[in-house]
Amino acid sequence: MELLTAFTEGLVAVFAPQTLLWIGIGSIIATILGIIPVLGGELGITLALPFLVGKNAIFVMPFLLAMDAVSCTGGSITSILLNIPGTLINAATTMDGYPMAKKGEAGRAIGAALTASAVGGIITVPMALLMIPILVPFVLKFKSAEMFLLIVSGLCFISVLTTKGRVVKGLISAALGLLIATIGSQAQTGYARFTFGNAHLYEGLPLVTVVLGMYAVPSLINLFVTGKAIAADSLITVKDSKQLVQGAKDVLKHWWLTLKSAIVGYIIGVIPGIGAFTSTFLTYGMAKKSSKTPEEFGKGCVEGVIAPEAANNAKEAGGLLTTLAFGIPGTGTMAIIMAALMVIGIQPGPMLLIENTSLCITMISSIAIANVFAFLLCWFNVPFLTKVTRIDPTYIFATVIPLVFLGAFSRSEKMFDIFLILVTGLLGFFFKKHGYSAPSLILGFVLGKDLEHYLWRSIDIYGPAFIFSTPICIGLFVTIILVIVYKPLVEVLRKIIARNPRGSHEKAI
Amino acid sequence: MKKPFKGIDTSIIFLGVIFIIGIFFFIKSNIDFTNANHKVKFFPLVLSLSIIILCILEFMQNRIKRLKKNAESKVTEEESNINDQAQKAIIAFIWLTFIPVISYILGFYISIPLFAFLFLRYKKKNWRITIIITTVMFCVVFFGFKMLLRMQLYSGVFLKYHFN
Repeated sequence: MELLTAFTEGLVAVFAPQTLLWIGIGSIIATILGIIPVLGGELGITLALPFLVGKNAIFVMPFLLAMDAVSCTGGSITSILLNIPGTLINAATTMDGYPMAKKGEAGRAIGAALTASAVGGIITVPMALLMIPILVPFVLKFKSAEMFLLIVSGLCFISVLTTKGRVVKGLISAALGLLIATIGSQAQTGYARFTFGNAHLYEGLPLVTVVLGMYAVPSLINLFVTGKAIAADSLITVKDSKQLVQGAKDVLKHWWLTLKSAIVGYIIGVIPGIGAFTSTFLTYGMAKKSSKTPEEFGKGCVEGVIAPEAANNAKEAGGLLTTLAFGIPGTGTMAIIMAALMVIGIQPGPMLLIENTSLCITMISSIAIANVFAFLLCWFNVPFLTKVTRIDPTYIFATVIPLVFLGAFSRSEKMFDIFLILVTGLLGFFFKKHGYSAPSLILGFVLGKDLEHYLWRSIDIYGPAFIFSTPICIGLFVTIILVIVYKPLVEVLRKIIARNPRGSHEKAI
Repeated sequence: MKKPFKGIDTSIIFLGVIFIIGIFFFIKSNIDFTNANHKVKFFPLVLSLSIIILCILEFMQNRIKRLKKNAESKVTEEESNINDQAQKAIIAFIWLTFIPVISYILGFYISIPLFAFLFLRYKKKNWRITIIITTVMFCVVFFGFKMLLRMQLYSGVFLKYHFN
């Protein structure tokens, strides 16, 4: 009964005019940012963080999730028209989208991409909502020991996922994040650690400043380095606009492919550690395999646009569910969403689903609304949106950089924070340059204090062998080991097999 | 012109910096928390030690990879591009440093529009757009942040010294 009330409250909240307004604003910002390749919705969320402190979570979280959910919708337009994916997950769309544009079917490709994105993003939301009643009893079994191992497994997952298999770099990033989290007074004893007598450090480093430095500054430096606006003459014509309807009809014609791709995208979103990038290429491959005309793939086949686009928007609901239910973010942006929850005073982790069920429902439902907004926005404004790619990065750098510093200052009104931005920005830049994982560091920083708290509680209750105290703990411990050793183990096995080419193992591979 | 990063493996330098951070926290944990509760010391000690071990592991992986690659001593075209990008990144970072430093001296009301103005002129943008964006930035700071958000923006040591 309680769950039913929470469902009703959550759904009523998402359709409140104010929430819809916030979702609409978030969708507009994300669609525009998603079109500019170096930027993306992630930067939008980061820049918005400092201004959300003290605001109502019912409005703030849908706003942020809208920014996350629809940035790839805008990105599909540049993938098709310019062969430049707005975000990495739009890369699969370029394979057939751009050839379609070259054949004079840009409008059809965009129509198909937008419709498939919207359908994928909307139909997976009920799936995620229906999973909540199943997850709640399971989540209730999580006590201190399970929580400790859950956080460690989350850190391991994101370390592997965001470093393209460079596990050691990912783990260094996570450990650094956890170490930074120890700065300030310790919750258990009240002892001030690593403050160097500086009063600003007693409460620890400010989360907003660290997030801004790690994400916004490297993106903007990248923008400065890459230098030029991307678009040349690839603007859409009136004829292309008419083709949009044809693209939408294509999605309806290939409804089974759309549905199948959306479900695969959703499942991949739910499982942390695989990544949306994989889902788009996987569904592309599936579409090619099941197509009546596989030879057309890569030459401008509309099915090659529908499958990845349905999958990339579908992954959001699944990814959010895992983030909310277990506190394990499947993507870097979800790590920032977790940071955002902390900024507005909500503790992320399994108890969030129990204590704030209606908020979780509002958050998941807002993804569907955001997809509707993004679809309408892109559908009626394609010519305008392609012009966005013409904006000179110089103007973005000149106007956004001051906002980063003002954002950091607005949080605490201390000059210390804006100098801290320089340090974290430099760290973020080198992290990006050398393939370390900023999301791992952020997640480590966000969950560091909790991890320490659960560690001592678990030791107090179960003793040092708490890792083996329950079946869930053992399962999580095995998962952690597998996540860390899987990639290096596969590489070692591959090398052994390569050295022995005549062996029967090679045939098996 | 001599390239600033010629022959330097910046990834190793960065790894070295992380290693030093690990060493620093390890030593600091041992010195500062000698008489404190074991709960104070344990977590940072384990983490800093993990960082040290992981850095050594990463260094070894990096060296093995480099030896296998048998890297050429000549600066290739790709490396030249990397050098150019590094130079641009340094310039970007200098511009980034401009805002906190000038804000500290002159305050946000002056430093933000000044940054926009100088940066756009540095990028040789025309006067009309430069002046428009500078004005917009001043309006954002003054009307957006001060009036609308009611923020107490820092007015700088220079103004404080002269007008207080």
